[in-house]
Amino acid sequence: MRAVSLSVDPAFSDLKDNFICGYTDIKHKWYCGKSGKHEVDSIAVDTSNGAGPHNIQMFMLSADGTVLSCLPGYWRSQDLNLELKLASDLNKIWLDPNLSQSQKDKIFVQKQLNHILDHPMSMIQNSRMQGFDRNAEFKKNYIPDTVSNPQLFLEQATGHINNNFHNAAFNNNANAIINTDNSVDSSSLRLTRLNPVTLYRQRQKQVDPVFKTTDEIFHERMAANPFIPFDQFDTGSFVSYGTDHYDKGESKMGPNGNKFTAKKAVGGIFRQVLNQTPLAPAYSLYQFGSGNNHFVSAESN
Amino acid sequence: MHKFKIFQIIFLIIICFEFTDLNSVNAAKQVLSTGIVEERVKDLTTQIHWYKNLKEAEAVAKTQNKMIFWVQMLGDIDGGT
Repeated sequence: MRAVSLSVDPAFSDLKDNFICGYTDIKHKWYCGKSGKHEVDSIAVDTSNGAGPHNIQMFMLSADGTVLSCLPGYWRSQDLNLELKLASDLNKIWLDPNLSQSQKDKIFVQKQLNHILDHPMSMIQNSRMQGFDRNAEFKKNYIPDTVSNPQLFLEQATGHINNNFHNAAFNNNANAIINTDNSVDSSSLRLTRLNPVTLYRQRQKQVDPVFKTTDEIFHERMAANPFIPFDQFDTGSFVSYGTDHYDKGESKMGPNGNKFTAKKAVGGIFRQVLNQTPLAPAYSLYQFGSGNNHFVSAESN
Repeated sequence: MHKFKIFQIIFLIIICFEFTDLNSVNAAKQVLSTGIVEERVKDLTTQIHWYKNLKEAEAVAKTQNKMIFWVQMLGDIDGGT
């Protein structure tokens, strides 16, 4: 993230000019994930937006510590820059003495959700959830908020079961919400929100017909948390999607990223066997203060 | 001969493990060599001062009328991650 995105314009210049920057190591936080080791003198590989949400979170705060936005995982420099601009707009709203708190909250929600529509197609394409994160979402015994098409999700989830992709526990739960005639129990669909963003959905469907892209997921989750003080922000719930183990496998690559040695491969194999990847905790705990009911909570599995 | 076949099977299993690693990125688009990584991390950590204390960052942000970019990460911005 630091070498591929943060240190590259346009984000780098924006950070230098308009932000006071800081960081903290979260290795002892309960929501922190696992990763391969990356040294300053190792190679770096870019990846898709929102990858590794448990391992890095980038907050944009007003000077008093109010959360304007938060990006989970890796983000490309040009996409990060768009979000820095949004944070700047939201900071002006937060500091406006002529707006009431409820007015500010309403504008916050609108701006977060509407910003999804402004994302360029390249950003949407680069925000597709990766295969291992999608598989983790399929394993959940409810329809998570990361799903854009519940019917297709259930069809593909059961397809995975037939292919022995998932465990028996999920099999039982999936059967409980799919009727014998293969129609879906509508009560299960209440776990998802109705999405009014039809135009965006048409574009997004080209990228991923089952799941929302990560750029939509984080904006929706931010919209559920208007102007929250940093110390009250529920980071664990916010980053809850996919697996908590993210490794781009640079340790198996040579100085230019294209080498492969048997010695490193064997080491990699043992590391993978020893590091199972448990599911991330279920996304939950969202409370909408402004009466908006876009989101619903889901029980932990 | 029997031992050779067992060795062949073990070798094939190892190869299968390696190429079915679901936790590796399957479509890496850009690889930066070690020299470039070092250079960029140096730029990032010398051209920008990275506070480690949020309260301190907030105090500075208030005096300079700026926002805060606060990164929570596994590791150190100028070291291993």
